Amino acid sequence: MISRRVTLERERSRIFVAVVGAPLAAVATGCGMIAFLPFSAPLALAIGVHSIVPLWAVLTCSLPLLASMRIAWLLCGSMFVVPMIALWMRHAGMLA
Amino acid sequence: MRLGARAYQTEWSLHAWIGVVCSVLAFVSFFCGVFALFRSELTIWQDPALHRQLGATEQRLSYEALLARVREQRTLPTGARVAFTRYEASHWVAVLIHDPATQRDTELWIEPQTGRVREGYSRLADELYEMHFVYQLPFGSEIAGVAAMAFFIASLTGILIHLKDLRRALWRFRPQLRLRFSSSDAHKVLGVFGLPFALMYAWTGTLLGLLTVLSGIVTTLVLPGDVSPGDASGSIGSEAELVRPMAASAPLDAWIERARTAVPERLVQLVVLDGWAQHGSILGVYFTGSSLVDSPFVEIDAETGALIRIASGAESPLDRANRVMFDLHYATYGGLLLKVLYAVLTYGTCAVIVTGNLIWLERRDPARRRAANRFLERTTIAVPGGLALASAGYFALNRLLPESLAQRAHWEFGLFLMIWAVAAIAAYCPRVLARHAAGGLCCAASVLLFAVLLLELLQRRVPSSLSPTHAELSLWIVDGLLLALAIGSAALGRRSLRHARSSAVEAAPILSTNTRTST
Repeated sequence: MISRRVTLERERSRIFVAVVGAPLAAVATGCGMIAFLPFSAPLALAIGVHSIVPLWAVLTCSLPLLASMRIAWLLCGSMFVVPMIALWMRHAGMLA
Repeated sequence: MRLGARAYQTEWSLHAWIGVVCSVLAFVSFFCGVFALFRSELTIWQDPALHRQLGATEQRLSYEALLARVREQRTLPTGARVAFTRYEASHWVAVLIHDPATQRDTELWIEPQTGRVREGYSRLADELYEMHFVYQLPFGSEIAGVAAMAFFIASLTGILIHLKDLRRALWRFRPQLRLRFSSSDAHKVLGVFGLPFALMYAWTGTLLGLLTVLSGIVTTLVLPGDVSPGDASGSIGSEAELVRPMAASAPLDAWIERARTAVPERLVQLVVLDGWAQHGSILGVYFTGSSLVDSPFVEIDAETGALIRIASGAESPLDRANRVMFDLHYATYGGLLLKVLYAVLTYGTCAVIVTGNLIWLERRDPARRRAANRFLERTTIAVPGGLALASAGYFALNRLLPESLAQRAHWEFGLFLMIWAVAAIAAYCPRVLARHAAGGLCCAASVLLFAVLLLELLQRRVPSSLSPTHAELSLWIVDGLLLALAIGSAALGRRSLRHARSSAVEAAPILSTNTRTST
């Protein structure tokens, strides 16, 4: 009974990380690329915007494959939080 | 290469669930995508007045005269956007008036040679085009974008789960086997064969559908206060210079000539007057572009006639990338044969979507014991079958409704929706066997399409020469599309009805044996 519940929760976590985590991480990473790629602004904009969709798809397919959902959420969270903090710092003038 | 057992199971579940959840929406988008591919041909086909093409379309038009004609017919609201579109296959000019206050659009067609005005005959081409990205629903474009993304992920997971037998999946098709296996074979063969195209449709479709949302997010997070990604190329004129009202007697033709001088050797395709009788009005002159490269346009101050900017539409890398995405999606980089190939692959993708749902049902619940699976089965018939029948009905109504009918275009679309709704109700009716419903809808669609083609053959004049005009070619292309749809619907309907009959014959002895055993 307990193992069935654990499996169910794990399945739910897998679906949640694929459906919610992947797009958030992809969009945040794309925005981070636009802001911080060492290319000219228009080129960085093109690369950043056009990398969101493939990144989203790859994350959705690969995140549920990770053995531990904790690692999947950690990876997803870092891909979302790091660019967002960097963007906030850039907006506040702390980063170039 | 082979995935581990757990990874295979995860990818299989992801593929199946995403496929089932987005299947219906994806089917609507793909089915109407073929109509979107042939939109300009359908625009000519839908109105008999446009069937006859007079003279060369390259001739210079007087946009001043066209605007005067529009103003005789309509009082242009302040701030209105008036767009004049020319089609290669017609000497008529389409005029679209958008009222920003009410957000309403009015379409007129003007014959420049005679000044004849035609209004609201049909919106068949536009409505089917808009249904490709579910524009009739609120946030339709975004919903279609998410469905395209789901299809993209389903395609990728499909590759992963068939890595072990990708080559065999390309050719193994055993129609004589049970439905579960024959539909699985068809799903794999069509899926693997059209895989590069499906990935391309889905990727470009996601971007086109979600570009507005992504632009908004990027503007908010990365470029606060800067230009949006869509306007990244910038402009020459400043706001202060643009604040001037446009005079009603503005010499449009002289200004368009100035734009032609700025972009030589290209034909004017679209002229847009944005902000009628308002401060800051702009005249945009759009020229025929080179596919995958550019689509040049010129913006002119509608008060002074001064050039604001001359742009190729591909100034920034983002513009160029977006242009490539658009051209790949709408097959504008090739000729007619490429469009035909796209259409064939798109119908193949429709079959992949339907067979995917069939595999789900036959594998998980062949007797349809669960209500959710019965609902899925009926939905898989109601939406695709209903759409096929309603589209056939739309084409028939276009030819049968009287020309004098008020609000004719609205009647056509309203009846199209009504046919779809009635077909869906019939498909959901539990007394009707699912396969009978599927067969009946497909056969009815086929009969209607053959009737439309028969009408066309009776009314159509034989081409005057061996080199048909663009308009004649458009009509034959649409007829070819309808013929393909009619034959496909007939084949599907026949197969469904035959399956229903053979299932009933197989079930009869089993039922009688069961009855004997129980007694």
